[in-house]
Amino acid sequence: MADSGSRSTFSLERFLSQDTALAEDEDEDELNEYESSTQDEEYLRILLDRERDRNHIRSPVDDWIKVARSEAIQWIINTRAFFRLRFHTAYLSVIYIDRFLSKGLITSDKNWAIRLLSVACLSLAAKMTELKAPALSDFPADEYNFESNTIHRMELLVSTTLDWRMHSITPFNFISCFIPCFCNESSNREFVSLTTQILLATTKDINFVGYRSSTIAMAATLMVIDQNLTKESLEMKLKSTWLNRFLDHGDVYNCYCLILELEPVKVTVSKADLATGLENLPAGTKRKRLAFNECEKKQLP
Amino acid sequence: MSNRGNSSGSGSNSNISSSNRPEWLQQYDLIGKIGEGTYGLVFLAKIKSNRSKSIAIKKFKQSKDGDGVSPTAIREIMLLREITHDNVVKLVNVHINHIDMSLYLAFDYAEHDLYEIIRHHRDKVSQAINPYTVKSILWQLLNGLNYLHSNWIMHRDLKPSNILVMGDGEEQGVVKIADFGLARIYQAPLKPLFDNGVVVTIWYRSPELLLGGKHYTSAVDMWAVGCIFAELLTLKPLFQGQEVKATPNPFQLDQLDKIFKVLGHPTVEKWPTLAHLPHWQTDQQHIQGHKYDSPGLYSVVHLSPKNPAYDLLSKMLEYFRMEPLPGRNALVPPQPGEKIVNYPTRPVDTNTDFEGTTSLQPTQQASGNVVSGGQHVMPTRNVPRPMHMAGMQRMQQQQQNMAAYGLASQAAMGGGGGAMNPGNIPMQRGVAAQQQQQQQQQQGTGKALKLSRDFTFEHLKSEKCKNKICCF
Repeated sequence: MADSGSRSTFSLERFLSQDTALAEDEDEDELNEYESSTQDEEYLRILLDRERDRNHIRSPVDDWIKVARSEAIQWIINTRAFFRLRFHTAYLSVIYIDRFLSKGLITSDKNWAIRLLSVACLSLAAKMTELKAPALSDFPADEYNFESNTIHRMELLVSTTLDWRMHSITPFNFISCFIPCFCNESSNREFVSLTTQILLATTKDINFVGYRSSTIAMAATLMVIDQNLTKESLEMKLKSTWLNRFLDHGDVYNCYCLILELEPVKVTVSKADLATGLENLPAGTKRKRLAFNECEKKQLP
Repeated sequence: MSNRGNSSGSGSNSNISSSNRPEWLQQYDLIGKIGEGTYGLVFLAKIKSNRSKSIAIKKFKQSKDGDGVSPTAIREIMLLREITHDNVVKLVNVHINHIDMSLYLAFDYAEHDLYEIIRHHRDKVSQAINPYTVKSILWQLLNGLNYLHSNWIMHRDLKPSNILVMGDGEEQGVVKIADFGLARIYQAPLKPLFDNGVVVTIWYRSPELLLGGKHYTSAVDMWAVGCIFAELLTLKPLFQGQEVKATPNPFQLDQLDKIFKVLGHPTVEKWPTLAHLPHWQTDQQHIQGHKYDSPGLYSVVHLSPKNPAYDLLSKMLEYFRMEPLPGRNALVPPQPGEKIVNYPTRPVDTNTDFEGTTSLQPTQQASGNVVSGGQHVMPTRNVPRPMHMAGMQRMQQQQQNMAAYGLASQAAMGGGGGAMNPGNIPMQRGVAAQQQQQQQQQQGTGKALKLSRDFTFEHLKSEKCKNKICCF
């Protein structure tokens, strides 16, 4: 992790020093999943082919939607921590939100609709990726309190609007391919953790909406390696790997520059709430074995 | 699915018609119930605007109150939306009943399945399935599976009742892989099969899973295909173990015992990862100490070890393999058969309506058709039988004669195993490479996929006519 913070204003440390609940609750399996290098070109091709659904995502233009989207994603980030869902799940739900919003079905100023959308999207994403998804009634309510039936209806509306194509590719699908190209095994864990934090932060920023998941994943990976890349040195880095021909250098660089401006996300859930969330974990969830106080004990380097 | 005529999404409740049926249902004539499983019910219906078209409608059981759309439904629909292949069942529509928010999947109907075909040969006609038919079925099954695997999809529940065969119509004789309720895209987390509360028969389960292995690979599907292949040859399940019914995840000793008795005692030399498999490691039931002789697979399937079919089968049923198999396993039985077999049509329970409740007056069907009485209840089965996603043809009065599922084999006459054979599964040496190059890129990536029990599918690429069972 060279050069952190020498010339650039970007500080990796900020991403390291996040709330432990956010940074440290990946369980072993998830880390192992990312660590097991998938250097399979054919697999990468399939991912690249499948991620095209993001091409059709348009950034919202209405200011109120931008604000509501940002709040909705903050809610997702909090709720992910609350239920200890995978980061991939949270990201997937954000893609659903953006794909849905692109259809322009929510037009007038309806914050509650955006919130309902985020509940439905997170629930759907959890059903796609988690071993056990939270019950609808367990989703934390703050200013809105939706009945399970309402969420169920929204799930159906989202699924049909997305044409039941729920297998969206997120940057998390790519990092198991990308990280091993730049990083040896010993520093892998910290690398994955930092990349994860950066990826999570990109969700709230509307400027990332138009980018492909592979581009964002590569930009985040390169950021962890070096925070002072120029367009040329970034290209050099890319060219040193077998991934080079699959990525657009210009896009990766633009995305990299956006990350330089990025603020880490904060989990705004109280620790008491997090503890409650853990108790409420569905039975049989692997993450159950990670008790909350274990998280607190572990400190990042 | 808006482009497919699905009217959902508007969230309207206006679809309560006079007959209290959702609007989408009006386009179908319900014939009856044809299947029932853990996930719900399957109905046979006809499209009103096109009476020749039969549709199987799978109704998902309502998820528990407050759980929303069931994860199984989401994953199954999502997978089916991703895949298009001649040898995979086709989802034609997704319907939502907005009143109770239940989900219905409409599939092209398939009249037959391998479970029934095997049963028919075993119990009704007491005659082996023609080797060319076996070959064609296997070829198509592998063709479909190759497509799935090259798209990183594992089926995880292959068994004869999930392998459908199309009846009368354009696609007559085409094999379709069905029931993706347990299928996964590789990266999705894999809940062990037994945690799902799902009855999955253990007969087609691979030894690594039986030994507690958690890493599902495409090899689990290939094992199942090997078991199905043997069953097509002998008309009996290859490894018919007694299932231990307990939760969670009981160790299926008898099933492993059945496997080891035929294939011999597994050793770490031949199967390096064996030592890491939980049930082998703990060895609570002392399987390690057992010393199984290996009578050999050929004693069970009655094939000469020199027969290419035997060669292929034994490779599908290897415990462990590092390298992909060369794509030139020939499966060429010695002589073509001549007898046409008419398979019966699927029984339809006409007493059940779309809600899955039994109606008091069996004659009051949506279609108003005269259907063959009420006596056609589902036959009792001695194995867990899941739903058929793809459906079946309406039951005709003249059922036996109508089906005309002529599994004859004139097409096979083109020369004892030459390129003209239908479903030239793995082809003969020499022929294979040549043909394969000509016919690449039919589906999937066109690249050889390291499938394991590591079978390369390169040689399976073939022209269209090979996709059907024999001569129609």
